[in-house]
Amino acid sequence: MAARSSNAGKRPSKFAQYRALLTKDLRQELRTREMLTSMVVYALLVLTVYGAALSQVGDRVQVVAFAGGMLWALIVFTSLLGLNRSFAHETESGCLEGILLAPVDRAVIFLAKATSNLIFLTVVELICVPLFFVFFLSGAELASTTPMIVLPLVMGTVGVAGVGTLLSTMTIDTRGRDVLLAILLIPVIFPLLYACVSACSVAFMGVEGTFGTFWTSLAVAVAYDVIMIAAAWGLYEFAVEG
Amino acid sequence: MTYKANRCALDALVPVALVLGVALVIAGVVWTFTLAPLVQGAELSEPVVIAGQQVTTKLLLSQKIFYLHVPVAVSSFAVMAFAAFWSIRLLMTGKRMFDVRAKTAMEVTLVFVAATMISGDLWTCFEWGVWWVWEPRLTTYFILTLLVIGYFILRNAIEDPERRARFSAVFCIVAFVDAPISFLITRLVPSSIHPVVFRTDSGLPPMMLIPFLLGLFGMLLLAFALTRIALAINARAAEVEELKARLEEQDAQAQRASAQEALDRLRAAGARVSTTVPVSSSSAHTPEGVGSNPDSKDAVASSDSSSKEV
Repeated sequence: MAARSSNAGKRPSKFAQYRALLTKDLRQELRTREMLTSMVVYALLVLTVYGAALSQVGDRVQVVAFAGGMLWALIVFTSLLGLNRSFAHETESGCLEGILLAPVDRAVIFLAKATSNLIFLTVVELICVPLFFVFFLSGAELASTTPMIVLPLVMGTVGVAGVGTLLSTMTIDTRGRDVLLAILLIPVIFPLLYACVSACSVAFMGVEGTFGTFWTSLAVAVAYDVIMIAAAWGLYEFAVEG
Repeated sequence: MTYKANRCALDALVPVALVLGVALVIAGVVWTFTLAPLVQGAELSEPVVIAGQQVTTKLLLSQKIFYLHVPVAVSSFAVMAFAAFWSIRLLMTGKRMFDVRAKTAMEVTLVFVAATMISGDLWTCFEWGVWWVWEPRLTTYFILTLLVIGYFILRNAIEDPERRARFSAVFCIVAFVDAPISFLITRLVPSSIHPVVFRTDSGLPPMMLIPFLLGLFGMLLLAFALTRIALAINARAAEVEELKARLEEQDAQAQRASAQEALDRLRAAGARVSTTVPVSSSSAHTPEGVGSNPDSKDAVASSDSSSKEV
Protein backbone atom coordinates (compact mmCIF):
# COMPACT_ATOMS: atom_id res chain seq x y z
CA MET A 1 0.00 0.00 0.00
CA ALA A 2 2.73 2.43 0.94
CA ALA A 3 4.50 1.73 -2.33
CA ARG A 4 1.40 2.52 -4.31
CA SER A 5 0.58 5.84 -2.64
CA SER A 6 4.13 7.13 -2.99
CA ASN A 7 4.01 7.07 -6.77
CA ALA A 8 0.33 7.77 -7.29
CA GLY A 9 -0.94 7.63 -10.85
CA LYS A 10 1.93 5.44 -11.98
CA ARG A 11 1.46 1.68 -11.94
CA PRO A 12 3.71 0.16 -9.29
CA SER A 13 6.44 -2.11 -10.56
CA LYS A 14 6.17 -5.88 -10.29
CA PHE A 15 8.73 -5.86 -7.52
CA ALA A 16 6.78 -3.25 -5.54
CA GLN A 17 3.64 -5.37 -5.87
CA TYR A 18 5.56 -8.44 -4.76
CA ARG A 19 7.01 -6.58 -1.77
CA ALA A 20 3.61 -5.18 -0.77
CA LEU A 21 1.99 -8.64 -0.87
CA LEU A 22 4.86 -10.22 1.02
CA THR A 23 4.95 -7.56 3.75
CA LYS A 24 1.19 -7.94 4.13
CA ASP A 25 1.61 -11.64 4.88
CA LEU A 26 4.57 -11.12 7.19
CA ARG A 27 2.90 -8.28 9.08
CA GLN A 28 -0.26 -10.30 9.51
CA GLU A 29 1.73 -13.22 10.86
CA LEU A 30 3.81 -11.02 13.18
CA ARG A 31 0.63 -9.55 14.65
CA THR A 32 -1.35 -12.75 15.08
CA ARG A 33 1.46 -15.35 15.25
CA GLU A 34 -1.30 -17.78 14.44
CA MET A 35 0.48 -19.92 11.86
CA LEU A 36 3.93 -20.07 13.44
CA THR A 37 2.59 -20.96 16.88
CA SER A 38 0.40 -23.75 15.60
CA MET A 39 3.15 -25.13 13.38
CA VAL A 40 5.79 -25.13 16.12
CA VAL A 41 3.42 -26.71 18.65
CA TYR A 42 2.38 -29.30 16.07
CA ALA A 43 6.04 -30.10 15.32
CA LEU A 44 6.66 -30.53 19.04
CA LEU A 45 3.74 -32.96 19.20
CA VAL A 46 5.13 -34.96 16.30
CA LEU A 47 8.46 -35.13 18.15
CA THR A 48 6.58 -36.35 21.23
CA VAL A 49 4.94 -39.10 19.15
CA TYR A 50 8.41 -40.06 17.88
CA GLY A 51 9.52 -40.23 21.49
CA ALA A 52 6.73 -42.70 22.25
CA ALA A 53 7.42 -44.65 19.06
CA LEU A 54 11.10 -45.07 19.96
CA SER A 55 10.71 -45.29 23.73
CA GLN A 56 10.99 -49.10 23.86
CA VAL A 57 14.05 -49.54 21.68
CA GLY A 58 16.44 -47.86 24.10
CA ASP A 59 20.04 -47.70 22.94
CA ARG A 60 19.85 -50.80 20.79
CA VAL A 61 18.81 -48.94 17.67
CA GLN A 62 21.07 -46.54 15.85
CA VAL A 63 18.70 -43.59 15.32
CA VAL A 64 21.26 -41.96 13.00
CA ALA A 65 20.50 -44.56 10.31
CA PHE A 66 16.93 -43.35 9.84
CA ALA A 67 17.15 -39.85 11.30
CA GLY A 68 16.84 -38.39 7.77
CA GLY A 69 13.50 -40.07 7.23
CA MET A 70 12.16 -39.02 10.63
CA LEU A 71 13.25 -35.45 10.09
CA TRP A 72 11.47 -35.29 6.74
CA ALA A 73 8.29 -36.88 8.08
CA LEU A 74 8.27 -34.10 10.68
CA ILE A 75 8.79 -31.42 8.03
CA VAL A 76 6.13 -32.77 5.66
CA PHE A 77 3.42 -33.02 8.32
CA THR A 78 4.22 -29.60 9.76
CA SER A 79 4.22 -28.07 6.25
CA LEU A 80 0.79 -29.54 5.55
CA LEU A 81 -0.59 -27.79 8.61
CA GLY A 82 1.10 -24.51 7.73
CA LEU A 83 0.03 -24.55 4.09
CA ASN A 84 -3.58 -25.14 5.08
CA ARG A 85 -3.45 -22.22 7.48
CA SER A 86 -1.66 -19.87 5.11
CA PHE A 87 -4.72 -19.54 2.90
CA ALA A 88 -7.28 -19.77 5.68
CA HIS A 89 -7.03 -16.10 6.59
CA GLU A 90 -6.91 -15.07 2.94
CA THR A 91 -10.48 -16.26 2.52
CA GLU A 92 -11.67 -15.18 5.95
CA SER A 93 -12.59 -11.60 5.14
CA GLY A 94 -12.55 -11.67 1.36
CA CYS A 95 -8.85 -10.80 1.29
CA LEU A 96 -8.11 -12.98 -1.72
CA GLU A 97 -10.93 -11.36 -3.72
CA GLY A 98 -9.44 -7.97 -2.88
CA ILE A 99 -6.03 -8.99 -4.12
CA LEU A 100 -7.49 -10.47 -7.29
CA LEU A 101 -9.46 -7.28 -7.97
CA ALA A 102 -6.26 -5.26 -7.96
CA PRO A 103 -4.42 -5.23 -11.31
CA VAL A 104 -1.70 -7.55 -10.08
CA ASP A 105 -0.12 -10.25 -12.20
CA ARG A 106 -1.13 -13.73 -10.95
CA ALA A 107 2.48 -14.87 -11.13
CA VAL A 108 3.42 -12.09 -8.68
CA ILE A 109 0.76 -13.31 -6.26
CA PHE A 110 2.16 -16.82 -6.56
CA LEU A 111 5.72 -15.68 -5.91
CA ALA A 112 4.71 -13.55 -2.91
CA LYS A 113 2.63 -16.33 -1.41
CA ALA A 114 5.31 -18.96 -2.05
CA THR A 115 7.96 -16.71 -0.50
CA SER A 116 5.93 -16.10 2.63
CA ASN A 117 5.25 -19.83 2.94
CA LEU A 118 8.97 -20.48 2.47
CA ILE A 119 9.83 -17.97 5.20
CA PHE A 120 7.39 -19.52 7.66
CA LEU A 121 8.58 -23.05 6.91
CA THR A 122 12.19 -21.96 7.35
CA VAL A 123 11.44 -20.35 10.71
CA VAL A 124 9.68 -23.52 11.88
CA GLU A 125 12.61 -25.65 10.70
CA LEU A 126 15.08 -23.39 12.47
CA ILE A 127 13.24 -24.20 15.69
CA CYS A 128 12.42 -27.88 15.08
CA VAL A 129 15.61 -29.26 13.57
CA PRO A 130 17.75 -28.29 16.60
CA LEU A 131 15.02 -29.71 18.86
CA PHE A 132 15.13 -32.94 16.83
CA PHE A 133 18.88 -33.13 17.41
CA VAL A 134 18.44 -32.46 21.13
CA PHE A 135 15.72 -35.08 21.58
CA PHE A 136 16.98 -37.90 19.40
CA LEU A 137 20.60 -37.36 18.44
CA SER A 138 22.20 -35.89 21.55
CA GLY A 139 23.68 -39.26 22.56
CA ALA A 140 24.55 -40.42 19.07
CA GLU A 141 27.91 -40.05 17.41
CA LEU A 142 27.34 -37.62 14.60
CA ALA A 143 29.40 -37.80 11.44
CA SER A 144 31.46 -34.76 10.54
CA THR A 145 29.36 -34.37 7.40
CA THR A 146 26.13 -33.78 9.34
CA PRO A 147 26.01 -30.00 8.61
CA MET A 148 25.61 -30.93 4.94
CA ILE A 149 21.91 -31.71 5.64
CA VAL A 150 21.32 -27.97 5.26
CA LEU A 151 21.50 -28.33 1.46
CA PRO A 152 18.71 -30.92 1.05
CA LEU A 153 16.71 -29.11 3.75
CA VAL A 154 16.83 -25.86 1.77
CA MET A 155 16.04 -27.56 -1.55
CA GLY A 156 13.21 -29.59 -0.05
CA THR A 157 11.65 -26.60 1.70
CA VAL A 158 11.74 -24.54 -1.51
CA GLY A 159 9.96 -27.32 -3.40
CA VAL A 160 7.34 -27.91 -0.70
CA ALA A 161 6.60 -24.18 -0.47
CA GLY A 162 6.31 -23.82 -4.27
CA VAL A 163 4.11 -26.83 -4.99
CA GLY A 164 2.23 -26.43 -1.71
CA THR A 165 1.25 -22.86 -2.60
CA LEU A 166 -0.35 -24.01 -5.87
CA LEU A 167 -2.17 -26.96 -4.34
CA SER A 168 -3.35 -25.15 -1.21
CA THR A 169 -4.80 -22.38 -3.41
CA MET A 170 -6.81 -25.03 -5.25
CA THR A 171 -8.01 -26.88 -2.18
CA ILE A 172 -8.91 -23.85 -0.09
CA ASP A 173 -12.55 -23.66 -1.22
CA THR A 174 -13.25 -27.36 -1.45
CA ARG A 175 -15.06 -29.74 0.84
CA GLY A 176 -12.72 -31.26 3.41
CA ARG A 177 -9.79 -29.12 2.37
CA ASP A 178 -7.39 -30.26 5.10
CA VAL A 179 -7.51 -33.88 4.00
CA LEU A 180 -7.60 -32.99 0.34
CA LEU A 181 -4.38 -30.98 0.54
CA ALA A 182 -2.63 -33.98 2.11
CA ILE A 183 -4.05 -36.33 -0.52
CA LEU A 184 -2.79 -34.12 -3.34
CA LEU A 185 0.46 -32.81 -1.87
CA ILE A 186 2.11 -35.96 -0.53
CA PRO A 187 2.09 -37.92 -3.83
CA VAL A 188 3.11 -34.84 -5.82
CA ILE A 189 6.12 -34.03 -3.63
CA PHE A 190 7.10 -37.68 -3.24
CA PRO A 191 10.08 -37.62 -5.65
CA LEU A 192 11.44 -34.60 -3.78
CA LEU A 193 10.85 -36.26 -0.43
CA TYR A 194 12.64 -39.41 -1.59
CA ALA A 195 15.65 -37.46 -2.85
CA CYS A 196 15.90 -35.30 0.28
CA VAL A 197 15.63 -38.26 2.65
CA SER A 198 18.36 -40.08 0.74
CA ALA A 199 20.65 -37.01 0.75
CA CYS A 200 20.03 -36.37 4.47
CA SER A 201 20.68 -40.01 5.36
CA VAL A 202 24.01 -39.98 3.52
CA ALA A 203 25.00 -36.79 5.35
CA PHE A 204 23.97 -38.24 8.73
CA MET A 205 25.87 -41.49 8.21
CA GLY A 206 28.92 -39.81 6.68
CA VAL A 207 30.28 -43.06 5.24
CA GLU A 208 33.31 -42.55 3.02
CA GLY A 209 32.55 -43.00 -0.69
CA THR A 210 28.77 -42.60 -0.48
CA PHE A 211 28.76 -38.92 -1.34
CA GLY A 212 28.05 -39.65 -4.97
CA THR A 213 24.52 -40.55 -3.84
CA PHE A 214 24.31 -37.29 -1.89
CA TRP A 215 25.06 -35.16 -4.93
CA THR A 216 22.83 -37.25 -7.23
CA SER A 217 19.92 -36.91 -4.80
CA LEU A 218 20.55 -33.20 -4.48
CA ALA A 219 20.58 -32.86 -8.26
CA VAL A 220 17.23 -34.70 -8.43
CA ALA A 221 15.84 -32.33 -5.76
CA VAL A 222 17.06 -29.26 -7.67
CA ALA A 223 15.65 -30.57 -10.96
CA TYR A 224 12.32 -31.28 -9.26
CA ASP A 225 12.24 -27.77 -7.76
CA VAL A 226 12.95 -26.13 -11.11
CA ILE A 227 10.36 -28.18 -13.04
CA MET A 228 7.62 -28.05 -10.43
CA ILE A 229 7.98 -24.37 -9.52
CA ALA A 230 8.00 -23.44 -13.21
CA ALA A 231 4.84 -25.56 -13.70
CA ALA A 232 3.18 -24.09 -10.60
CA TRP A 233 4.10 -20.56 -11.66
CA GLY A 234 2.62 -21.08 -15.12
CA LEU A 235 -0.52 -22.81 -13.86
CA TYR A 236 -1.22 -20.45 -10.97
CA GLU A 237 -3.47 -18.12 -12.92
CA PHE A 238 -5.85 -21.05 -13.49
CA ALA A 239 -5.77 -22.01 -9.82
CA VAL A 240 -6.86 -18.65 -8.37
CA GLU A 241 -10.38 -17.47 -9.05
CA GLY A 242 -10.41 -15.61 -12.34
CA MET B 1 -23.51 -28.73 -30.03
CA THR B 2 -24.92 -32.23 -29.92
CA TYR B 3 -23.12 -35.49 -29.45
CA LYS B 4 -23.68 -36.43 -33.09
CA ALA B 5 -21.90 -33.30 -34.25
CA ASN B 6 -18.93 -34.16 -32.06
CA ARG B 7 -18.52 -37.60 -33.58
CA CYS B 8 -15.42 -37.82 -35.65
CA ALA B 9 -13.97 -40.29 -38.08
CA LEU B 10 -12.05 -41.98 -35.25
CA ASP B 11 -15.26 -43.45 -33.87
CA ALA B 12 -15.69 -45.54 -36.98
CA LEU B 13 -12.44 -47.28 -36.08
CA VAL B 14 -13.56 -48.21 -32.56
CA PRO B 15 -15.20 -51.59 -33.34
CA VAL B 16 -12.26 -52.56 -35.52
CA ALA B 17 -9.76 -51.53 -32.84
CA LEU B 18 -11.73 -53.38 -30.18
CA VAL B 19 -11.89 -56.64 -32.12
CA LEU B 20 -8.30 -56.40 -33.34
CA GLY B 21 -7.05 -55.50 -29.85
CA VAL B 22 -8.82 -58.44 -28.21
CA ALA B 23 -7.58 -60.77 -30.98
CA LEU B 24 -3.98 -59.58 -30.62
CA VAL B 25 -4.03 -59.87 -26.82
CA ILE B 26 -5.50 -63.39 -27.03
CA ALA B 27 -2.92 -64.37 -29.68
CA GLY B 28 -0.19 -62.95 -27.43
CA VAL B 29 -1.46 -64.89 -24.41
CA VAL B 30 -1.73 -68.14 -26.36
CA TRP B 31 1.79 -67.64 -27.74
CA THR B 32 3.02 -66.83 -24.25
CA PHE B 33 1.89 -70.15 -22.87
CA THR B 34 2.75 -72.31 -25.87
CA LEU B 35 5.77 -71.12 -27.82
CA ALA B 36 7.55 -68.64 -25.57
CA PRO B 37 10.34 -70.30 -23.60
CA LEU B 38 10.46 -70.20 -19.81
CA VAL B 39 12.89 -67.78 -18.22
CA GLN B 40 15.68 -69.18 -16.12
CA GLY B 41 15.69 -67.99 -12.56
CA ALA B 42 17.86 -68.91 -9.60
CA GLU B 43 20.21 -71.88 -9.79
CA LEU B 44 18.93 -75.21 -8.51
CA SER B 45 20.86 -77.19 -5.93
CA GLU B 46 21.17 -80.09 -8.37
CA PRO B 47 20.35 -80.47 -12.09
CA VAL B 48 17.00 -82.02 -12.96
CA VAL B 49 15.63 -83.35 -16.24
CA ILE B 50 12.46 -81.70 -17.47
CA ALA B 51 10.93 -82.83 -20.78
CA GLY B 52 14.10 -84.57 -21.84
CA GLN B 53 16.33 -81.56 -21.14
CA GLN B 54 18.75 -81.16 -18.34
CA VAL B 55 17.95 -78.00 -16.38
CA THR B 56 20.26 -76.43 -13.85
CA THR B 57 18.23 -73.37 -12.97
CA LYS B 58 14.70 -72.85 -11.72
CA LEU B 59 12.30 -72.06 -14.53
CA LEU B 60 10.02 -69.15 -13.74
CA LEU B 61 6.44 -69.70 -14.82
CA SER B 62 5.47 -66.46 -13.06
CA GLN B 63 7.49 -64.54 -15.64
CA LYS B 64 4.54 -65.08 -18.01
CA ILE B 65 2.84 -62.15 -16.29
CA PHE B 66 5.40 -59.96 -18.05
CA TYR B 67 3.58 -60.39 -21.41
CA LEU B 68 0.45 -58.74 -19.99
CA HIS B 69 1.84 -56.61 -17.18
CA VAL B 70 4.16 -54.45 -19.30
CA PRO B 71 1.61 -53.76 -22.10
CA VAL B 72 -1.02 -52.76 -19.51
CA ALA B 73 1.47 -50.45 -17.78
CA VAL B 74 2.54 -48.85 -21.08
CA SER B 75 -1.12 -48.34 -22.01
CA SER B 76 -1.77 -46.59 -18.70
CA PHE B 77 1.05 -44.11 -19.44
CA ALA B 78 -0.28 -43.59 -22.99
CA VAL B 79 -3.85 -42.87 -21.87
CA MET B 80 -2.65 -40.58 -19.10
CA ALA B 81 -0.60 -38.64 -21.65
CA PHE B 82 -3.87 -37.98 -23.50
CA ALA B 83 -5.52 -36.89 -20.24
CA ALA B 84 -2.70 -34.38 -19.70
CA PHE B 85 -2.93 -33.22 -23.33
CA TRP B 86 -6.68 -32.61 -23.05
CA SER B 87 -6.15 -30.84 -19.72
CA ILE B 88 -3.73 -28.46 -21.40
CA ARG B 89 -6.26 -27.93 -24.22
CA LEU B 90 -8.94 -27.17 -21.64
CA LEU B 91 -6.80 -24.50 -19.99
CA MET B 92 -5.97 -23.04 -23.39
CA THR B 93 -9.51 -22.95 -24.81
CA GLY B 94 -11.79 -23.21 -21.79
CA LYS B 95 -14.17 -25.56 -23.64
CA ARG B 96 -16.23 -27.96 -21.50
CA MET B 97 -15.67 -30.67 -24.10
CA PHE B 98 -12.02 -31.05 -23.09
CA ASP B 99 -12.95 -31.45 -19.43
CA VAL B 100 -15.16 -34.42 -20.34
CA ARG B 101 -12.32 -35.84 -22.43
CA ALA B 102 -9.66 -35.41 -19.75
CA LYS B 103 -11.95 -36.94 -17.13
CA THR B 104 -12.72 -39.89 -19.39
CA ALA B 105 -9.05 -40.49 -20.13
CA MET B 106 -8.30 -40.41 -16.40
CA GLU B 107 -11.07 -42.96 -15.78
CA VAL B 108 -9.54 -45.32 -18.34
CA THR B 109 -6.10 -44.61 -16.83
CA LEU B 110 -7.44 -45.64 -13.44
CA VAL B 111 -8.61 -48.98 -14.87
CA PHE B 112 -5.21 -49.66 -16.44
CA VAL B 113 -3.33 -48.46 -13.36
CA ALA B 114 -5.36 -50.81 -11.17
CA ALA B 115 -4.70 -53.71 -13.57
CA THR B 116 -0.97 -52.88 -13.56
CA MET B 117 -0.84 -52.74 -9.77
CA ILE B 118 -2.64 -56.07 -9.38
CA SER B 119 -0.60 -57.92 -12.03
CA GLY B 120 2.62 -56.32 -10.82
CA ASP B 121 1.94 -57.22 -7.23
CA LEU B 122 1.20 -60.86 -8.14
CA TRP B 123 4.48 -60.97 -10.01
CA THR B 124 6.34 -59.39 -7.08
CA CYS B 125 4.84 -61.97 -4.78
CA PHE B 126 5.69 -65.02 -6.90
CA GLU B 127 9.02 -63.86 -8.28
CA TRP B 128 10.57 -61.99 -5.38
CA GLY B 129 8.72 -63.75 -2.59
CA VAL B 130 7.41 -60.55 -0.99
CA TRP B 131 4.20 -58.63 -1.50
CA TRP B 132 5.83 -55.25 -1.69
CA VAL B 133 9.27 -53.68 -1.85
CA TRP B 134 10.06 -49.96 -1.96
CA GLU B 135 11.91 -50.39 -5.19
CA PRO B 136 12.13 -47.26 -7.43
CA ARG B 137 9.79 -48.47 -10.20
CA LEU B 138 7.21 -49.81 -7.75
CA THR B 139 7.39 -46.67 -5.65
CA THR B 140 6.98 -44.23 -8.52
CA TYR B 141 4.13 -46.28 -9.99
CA PHE B 142 2.42 -46.45 -6.60
CA ILE B 143 2.68 -42.67 -6.42
CA LEU B 144 1.09 -42.49 -9.88
CA THR B 145 -1.79 -44.60 -8.59
CA LEU B 146 -2.26 -42.23 -5.65
CA LEU B 147 -2.19 -39.23 -7.99
CA VAL B 148 -4.87 -40.71 -10.24
CA ILE B 149 -7.05 -41.47 -7.21
CA GLY B 150 -6.35 -37.97 -5.87
CA TYR B 151 -7.56 -36.52 -9.18
CA PHE B 152 -11.00 -38.05 -8.65
CA ILE B 153 -11.13 -37.03 -4.99
CA LEU B 154 -10.36 -33.46 -6.08
CA ARG B 155 -13.13 -33.60 -8.70
CA ASN B 156 -15.63 -34.84 -6.14
CA ALA B 157 -14.71 -32.10 -3.69
CA ILE B 158 -15.61 -29.19 -6.00
CA GLU B 159 -19.23 -28.33 -6.81
CA ASP B 160 -18.93 -25.61 -9.43
CA PRO B 161 -18.36 -27.31 -12.85
CA GLU B 162 -16.23 -24.49 -14.26
CA ARG B 163 -13.85 -24.46 -11.29
CA ARG B 164 -13.82 -28.25 -11.16
CA ALA B 165 -12.73 -28.39 -14.79
CA ARG B 166 -9.96 -25.85 -14.27
CA PHE B 167 -8.58 -27.23 -11.00
CA SER B 168 -8.64 -30.85 -12.08
CA ALA B 169 -6.85 -29.89 -15.31
CA VAL B 170 -4.12 -28.14 -13.30
CA PHE B 171 -3.75 -31.16 -11.05
CA CYS B 172 -3.73 -33.57 -14.00
CA ILE B 173 -0.82 -31.69 -15.56
CA VAL B 174 1.11 -31.63 -12.28
CA ALA B 175 0.37 -35.32 -11.73
CA PHE B 176 1.50 -36.28 -15.20
CA VAL B 177 5.05 -35.18 -14.33
CA ASP B 178 5.32 -38.45 -12.41
CA ALA B 179 4.52 -40.62 -15.45
CA PRO B 180 7.79 -40.03 -17.36
CA ILE B 181 9.69 -40.32 -14.07
CA SER B 182 8.11 -43.72 -13.47
CA PHE B 183 8.76 -44.79 -17.05
CA LEU B 184 12.40 -43.67 -17.06
CA ILE B 185 13.30 -44.58 -13.48
CA THR B 186 14.87 -47.89 -14.55
CA ARG B 187 17.30 -45.86 -16.65
CA LEU B 188 17.88 -43.17 -14.01
CA VAL B 189 18.43 -45.59 -11.14
CA PRO B 190 20.43 -48.52 -12.47
CA SER B 191 20.13 -50.39 -9.16
CA SER B 192 16.42 -50.90 -9.89
CA ILE B 193 15.47 -54.59 -10.15
CA HIS B 194 13.24 -53.81 -13.14
CA PRO B 195 15.09 -54.27 -16.42
CA VAL B 196 15.04 -51.65 -19.16
CA VAL B 197 12.58 -53.25 -21.58
CA PHE B 198 12.32 -50.57 -24.24
CA ARG B 199 15.64 -50.51 -26.04
CA THR B 200 16.77 -51.69 -29.42
CA ASP B 201 18.93 -54.47 -27.99
CA SER B 202 16.36 -55.71 -25.48
CA GLY B 203 17.93 -59.16 -25.49
CA LEU B 204 14.56 -60.86 -25.85
CA PRO B 205 14.65 -63.81 -28.26
CA PRO B 206 12.07 -63.58 -31.08
CA MET B 207 9.92 -66.25 -29.47
CA MET B 208 9.49 -63.96 -26.46
CA LEU B 209 9.59 -60.64 -28.29
CA ILE B 210 6.73 -61.46 -30.68
CA PRO B 211 4.10 -62.32 -28.05
CA PHE B 212 5.20 -59.28 -26.09
CA LEU B 213 4.74 -56.99 -29.09
CA LEU B 214 1.41 -58.65 -29.93
CA GLY B 215 0.24 -58.00 -26.38
CA LEU B 216 1.57 -54.44 -26.47
CA PHE B 217 -0.15 -53.43 -29.71
CA GLY B 218 -3.30 -55.30 -28.75
CA MET B 219 -3.43 -53.54 -25.39
CA LEU B 220 -2.82 -50.12 -26.96
CA LEU B 221 -5.66 -50.74 -29.44
CA LEU B 222 -7.87 -51.84 -26.54
CA ALA B 223 -6.96 -48.71 -24.60
CA PHE B 224 -7.85 -46.58 -27.60
CA ALA B 225 -11.18 -48.38 -28.12
CA LEU B 226 -12.06 -48.20 -24.40
CA THR B 227 -11.25 -44.50 -24.27
CA ARG B 228 -13.42 -43.75 -27.30
CA ILE B 229 -16.32 -45.83 -25.94
CA ALA B 230 -16.08 -44.20 -22.51
CA LEU B 231 -15.87 -40.84 -24.25
CA ALA B 232 -19.06 -41.53 -26.16
CA ILE B 233 -20.83 -42.50 -22.94
CA ASN B 234 -19.52 -39.52 -20.99
CA ALA B 235 -20.24 -37.09 -23.81
CA ARG B 236 -23.82 -38.38 -23.94
CA ALA B 237 -24.09 -38.15 -20.14
CA ALA B 238 -22.79 -34.57 -20.24
CA GLU B 239 -25.28 -33.76 -22.96
CA VAL B 240 -28.13 -35.29 -20.95
CA GLU B 241 -27.08 -33.22 -17.93
CA GLU B 242 -27.05 -30.10 -20.06
CA LEU B 243 -30.46 -30.90 -21.56
CA LYS B 244 -31.82 -31.61 -18.08
CA ALA B 245 -30.58 -28.25 -16.84
CA ARG B 246 -32.08 -26.52 -19.88
CA LEU B 247 -35.38 -28.37 -19.40
CA GLU B 248 -35.51 -27.37 -15.75
CA GLU B 249 -34.83 -23.79 -16.70
CA GLN B 250 -37.58 -23.86 -19.33
CA ASP B 251 -39.92 -25.44 -16.81
CA ALA B 252 -39.16 -22.76 -14.27
CA GLN B 253 -39.63 -20.10 -16.92
CA ALA B 254 -43.01 -21.54 -17.93
CA GLN B 255 -44.08 -21.65 -14.30
CA ARG B 256 -42.99 -18.08 -13.75
CA ALA B 257 -44.84 -17.01 -16.90
CA SER B 258 -48.07 -18.75 -15.91
CA ALA B 259 -47.86 -17.30 -12.40
CA GLN B 260 -47.33 -13.87 -13.89
CA GLU B 261 -50.28 -14.37 -16.21
CA ALA B 262 -52.56 -15.43 -13.36
CA LEU B 263 -51.40 -12.43 -11.37
CA ASP B 264 -52.14 -10.11 -14.27
CA ARG B 265 -55.58 -11.64 -14.69
CA LEU B 266 -56.35 -11.18 -11.01
CA ARG B 267 -55.02 -7.66 -11.09
CA ALA B 268 -57.21 -6.79 -14.06
CA ALA B 269 -60.22 -8.30 -12.35
CA GLY B 270 -59.38 -6.42 -9.16
CA ALA B 271 -59.11 -3.16 -11.07
CA ARG B 272 -62.51 -3.85 -12.62
CA VAL B 273 -64.06 -4.52 -9.22
CA SER B 274 -62.57 -1.48 -7.56
CA THR B 275 -63.84 0.83 -10.34
CA THR B 276 -67.41 -0.58 -10.38
CA VAL B 277 -67.99 -1.39 -6.68
CA PRO B 278 -65.87 0.82 -4.44
CA VAL B 279 -65.22 -1.38 -1.39
CA SER B 280 -62.75 -0.62 1.36
CA SER B 281 -60.08 -3.28 1.74
CA SER B 282 -60.99 -3.76 5.44
CA SER B 283 -64.59 -4.72 4.64
CA ALA B 284 -63.42 -7.08 1.92
CA HIS B 285 -61.36 -9.02 4.45
CA THR B 286 -64.23 -9.51 6.93
CA PRO B 287 -66.19 -12.75 6.78
CA GLU B 288 -69.46 -10.81 6.45
CA GLY B 289 -68.11 -9.10 3.37
CA VAL B 290 -67.18 -12.44 1.88
CA GLY B 291 -70.65 -13.78 2.44
CA SER B 292 -72.50 -10.70 1.14
CA ASN B 293 -70.43 -9.77 -1.88
CA PRO B 294 -70.39 -12.23 -4.79
CA ASP B 295 -67.26 -10.51 -6.21
CA SER B 296 -65.42 -10.67 -2.88
CA LYS B 297 -62.93 -13.30 -4.09
CA ASP B 298 -61.61 -10.94 -6.68
CA ALA B 299 -61.55 -8.13 -4.20
CA VAL B 300 -59.47 -10.19 -1.76
CA ALA B 301 -57.15 -11.24 -4.55
CA SER B 302 -56.73 -7.67 -5.70
CA SER B 303 -55.86 -6.50 -2.22
CA ASP B 304 -53.41 -9.42 -1.97
CA SER B 305 -51.80 -8.61 -5.29
CA SER B 306 -51.55 -4.96 -4.42
CA SER B 307 -49.86 -5.86 -1.16
CA LYS B 308 -47.48 -8.09 -3.13
CA GLU B 309 -46.64 -5.20 -5.36
CA VAL B 310 -45.56 -3.17 -2.36
